[in-house]
Amino acid sequence: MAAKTASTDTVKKRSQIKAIWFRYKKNKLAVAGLILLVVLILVAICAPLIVPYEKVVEQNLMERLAPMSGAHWFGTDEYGRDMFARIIWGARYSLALGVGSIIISLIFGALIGAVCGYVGGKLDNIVMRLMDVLLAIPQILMAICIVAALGQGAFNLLIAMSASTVPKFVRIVRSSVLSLKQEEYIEAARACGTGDGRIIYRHVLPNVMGPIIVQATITMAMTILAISSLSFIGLGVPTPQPEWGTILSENKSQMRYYPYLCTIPGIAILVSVIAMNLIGDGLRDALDPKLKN
Amino acid sequence: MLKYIVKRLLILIPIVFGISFIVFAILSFTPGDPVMNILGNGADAQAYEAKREELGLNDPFLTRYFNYIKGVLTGDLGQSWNYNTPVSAELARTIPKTLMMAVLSVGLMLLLGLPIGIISAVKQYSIWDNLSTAAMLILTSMPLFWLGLMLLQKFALDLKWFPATFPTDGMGTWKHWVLPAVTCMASMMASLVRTTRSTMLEVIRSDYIRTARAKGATEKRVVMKHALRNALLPVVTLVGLNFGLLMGGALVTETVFGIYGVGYLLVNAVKSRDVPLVMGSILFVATCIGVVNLLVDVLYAYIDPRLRSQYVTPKKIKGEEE
Repeated sequence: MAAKTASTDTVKKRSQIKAIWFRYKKNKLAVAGLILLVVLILVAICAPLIVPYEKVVEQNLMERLAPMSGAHWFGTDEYGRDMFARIIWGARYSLALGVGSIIISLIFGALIGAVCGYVGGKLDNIVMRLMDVLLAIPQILMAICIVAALGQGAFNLLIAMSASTVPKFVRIVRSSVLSLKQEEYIEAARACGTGDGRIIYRHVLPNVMGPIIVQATITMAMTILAISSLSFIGLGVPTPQPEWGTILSENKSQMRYYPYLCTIPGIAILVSVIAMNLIGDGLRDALDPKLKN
Repeated sequence: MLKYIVKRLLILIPIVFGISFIVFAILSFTPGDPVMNILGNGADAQAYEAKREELGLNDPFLTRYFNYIKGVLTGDLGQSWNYNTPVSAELARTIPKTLMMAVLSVGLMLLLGLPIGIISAVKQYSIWDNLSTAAMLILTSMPLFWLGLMLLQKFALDLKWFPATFPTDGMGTWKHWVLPAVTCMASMMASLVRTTRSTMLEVIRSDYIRTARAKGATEKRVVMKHALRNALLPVVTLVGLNFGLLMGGALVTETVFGIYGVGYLLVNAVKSRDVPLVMGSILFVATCIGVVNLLVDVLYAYIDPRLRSQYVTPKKIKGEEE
């Protein structure tokens, strides 16, 4: 019996994912976005195979501000560091920070939101008032405050970005849970004597995942922009680490005569954010066919 | 209505205090010594202690917070640790520039975004619609500071149409504001176009639009009079939201163009750990956002009579019906 339920479960899950994928792949732009993102992630993962890290930080003043050439595909910056290496390794920082912070805030946001929405009462009231306060501060300002407190650095930036996105997810998850709570299958599960934790984990969360995933992809795009902005104004990843925003900030003084030093990292950010936005739009249409009609 | 506004203003108070408490706590419980920052590493112990006492850093956290709030309530935002000037004076110096930037970019966004959104919706799937959708996608995905740098490179340094630097004092001329306003409004415009387009599309398919057409109203009248007015509600939210955010959120644009506005002030204050200045700017931004949100809600009632009933207590409606 148990085996049978498990197998129907997996069949159902697979067919649901298949149905979503079927709708998703009809959207050509969304597929293009997905391919772009996969390529970017591969570049980020394989960075050590493409160029060694030494090239990222190695200063060679003899070759400072060298133009684009076979030896330096994207030229070199004012310290003679190879721009190609910095951009490739920059993918690691920018994407890892963006993806990482969304995963962290998603986990916390989903947990807090689901518990608040499901339990309700005083706990819900207190937590939501706190979230109201946190949501009243723009995300980037909140992140700036946290970075100011913790100090500059990639890890601190990760914490700051995650913490400042949590309230948003709490709100979305909570409202979805509230609308689900009265559904009959939740009531049925409760009537069967299922514990609250299991109901939240097995029945509530899987059913609210759709809007959350869409929101997460779009927020990820915004987070990557915010991370590069913070790095640009000098409150994010410090030099010589090659985050794209940091690279732009380093090179802005050379913009007059070496514009490509600023153009290339900007295009890198632009491309990854476009990819995420396309995926977000595609997922929204695929996960919620009602919206499209 | 008045009751509603007063109620909302009352709700704003705990939110602003909550924010101030959280930010104050974050800034207080962090490693690093603000006194060392101010005096430098070579300071002797006596001067160090005196400075700590002067700034009230020897008091417990809650005492410090209450002292600060007591000051705020009497209109004293404290002294900036780094500049030794009153925080209110620094804010007074920077607010006009930020306000100018917000007004200009929101105005420009409406001027460009609304027509583009309307055209996209009315001529759905035409070449204009596709072009604008693609352009807006690129604009939302573009880092603002990068766009600012590119505009500076092209229009200030290459073509020399606009000045590349912003005067430290005074408001500059209109030429100084063109590039910052364009940069600032870029991503906002993209979301405005998207919202206008999607709400217009929804409205255009509704029955009353068909009725208007059946009555023989001209297309222009149908779009401008019947459709646009009904599609305006989400647009008002968006404008309000952006305006509120801009009061502090223009920090990236302000940094790129060197405009000494609230955002710039805040970033510098954060970098140098100037707690009173950070607190003052954050309080200002939070209050602005709260007030603008309230204004948006009130404006709703004027645009959409259906919503007005929500602000009136049920009893009164009953009375009106009788």
